Amino acid sequence: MKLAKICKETLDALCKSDDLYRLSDLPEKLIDHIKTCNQCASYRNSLLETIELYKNYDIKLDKNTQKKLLCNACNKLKEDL
Amino acid sequence: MKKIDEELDLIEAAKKGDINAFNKLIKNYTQLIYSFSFKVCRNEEKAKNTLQDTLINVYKSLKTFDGKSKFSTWLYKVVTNNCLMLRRSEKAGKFISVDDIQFDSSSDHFISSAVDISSKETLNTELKEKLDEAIKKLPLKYRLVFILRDIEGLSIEETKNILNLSVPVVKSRLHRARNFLRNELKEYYEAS
Repeated sequence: MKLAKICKETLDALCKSDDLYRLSDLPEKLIDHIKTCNQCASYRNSLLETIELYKNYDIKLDKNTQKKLLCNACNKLKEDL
Repeated sequence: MKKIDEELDLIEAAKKGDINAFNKLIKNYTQLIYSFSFKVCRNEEKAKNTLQDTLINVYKSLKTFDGKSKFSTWLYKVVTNNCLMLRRSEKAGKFISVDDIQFDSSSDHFISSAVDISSKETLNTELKEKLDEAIKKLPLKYRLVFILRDIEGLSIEETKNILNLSVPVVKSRLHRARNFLRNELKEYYEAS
């Protein structure tokens, strides 16, 4: 599918944006375009969704392990001193 | 403000060799280090190795922290370097698991008890596999930019400083990473 010039510009700007959520670093012209172009709006949403999916996929160390790892590192450092 | 001052005091004390101060300082960041390492290597054991190495390297290189950036930003730089070093050792076939390291019997140190805190209701196993698969396909240089900027929420400026890159290079890698991951997960969006 051939993209319109403004769509190409928008997709490029979205992928490089430092503020995908509020689009504060995008030119007014592109922000207005996203509001009216379904394709660009949906592309932006899928980028945001991708980020959210990765943000939600996390793991945690329980306190006991955390404490033991710290103790071990400190003991190793004391040995080195 | 009080918290920042407290942290700066701990940093100064740790720089002078106070291990207890170091312990207090770093315990607030172990989760951040572990979580970041996991996001980079997508493997719990490797994340534990990176955490172990980072704790020791942070103490040893604390003198180089000049306070010009946030402590957490500096920390990301140390963890990132450890992730890259781990990758190099893997390539050279020198990777040693923490489980292979012998400790004295009184120190039951590396118990594998990582708890998955991803929302089990929202992320099923199939989706997790898909996410792992997609990000593993992404070369490390793009992966690091995506994780630092989009997942950890650092600015482009901070990401640039951590990775010693220019702003255009960070933006270009971010572009590639976002677009690549989005395309890899396209089926998921279309199905939902």
